[in-house]
Amino acid sequence: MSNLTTFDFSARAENTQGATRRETPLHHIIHPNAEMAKVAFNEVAFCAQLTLRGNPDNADFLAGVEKALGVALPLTPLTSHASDSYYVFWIGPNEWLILAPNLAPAAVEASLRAELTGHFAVVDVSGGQTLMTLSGEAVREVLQKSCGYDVEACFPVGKVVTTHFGKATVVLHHQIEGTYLMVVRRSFADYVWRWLEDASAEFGLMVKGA
Amino acid sequence: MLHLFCPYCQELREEDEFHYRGQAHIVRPKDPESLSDKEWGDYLFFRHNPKGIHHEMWYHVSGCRRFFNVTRNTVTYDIYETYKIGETPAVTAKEETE
Ligand SMILES: [Zn+2]
Repeated sequence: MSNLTTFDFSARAENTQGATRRETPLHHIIHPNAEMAKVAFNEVAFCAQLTLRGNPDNADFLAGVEKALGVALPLTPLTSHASDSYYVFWIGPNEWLILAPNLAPAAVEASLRAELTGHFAVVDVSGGQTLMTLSGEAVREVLQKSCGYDVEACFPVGKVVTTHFGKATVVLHHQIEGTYLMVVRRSFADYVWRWLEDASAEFGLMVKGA
Repeated sequence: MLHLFCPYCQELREEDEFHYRGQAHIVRPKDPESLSDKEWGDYLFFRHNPKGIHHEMWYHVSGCRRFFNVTRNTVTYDIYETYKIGETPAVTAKEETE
């Protein structure tokens, strides 16, 4: 499984598009790491994210996606599938979110379009949202404070829910035991960060790699 | 705070993830031109306001973003069932009075 837990700070300043410098939605955050921090935060920079829509009753659609990605679409509500290159999240009965940390969004889109025909939609949403990971021994306390969703009741590794964090809508995924991945709209990223900074203050917060 | 069972997510969620979207099972007339102004007005503007059993649409806006139906008691706020768009309710007002 690909590693989404370490922030590559050099990626923030990486100049890959000539004169245009890419910045993540949280490129500006400055945080003095707490000693004995019990909550760890990390923004995952520039991960390819694509929304896929299609009919799960169409066998050709399912087979085409599996051929393109090498991983089958999760059809059970609130589940995800993962491979070395991809995470695929169930978002709704005909909607999935594909994350590809090490691939260009255009390449993922092209590989899907090469295999799919008929009624489907694939949209590159990489620029519209960002990824954050939360971990540490107090991570569940912070999530319980911040989400109406009960992460302690039934939230095993691999489960994915769309819910509220503070007042922002986020996609929350239990990535590996004790590590949670959040997909946040880029315009909500600063709000979510500030909320998290406040909610984590009592436990101590550290930003990985800072 | 209501707890609603989303028939698509297959899970109970808190009310703040949902929006209320009014009366369910309103069918758009196939041939609007043939309707009287009264019939068209009824379709567009007039809604039931029952005391008791009500079939209504809810939208899981901060979840799977699907619409679904809820049978709710407007007096007690009891939710009897939630069901997908296109399905028929198991609990109706007629059965309730029998
Ligand atoms: Zn739902």
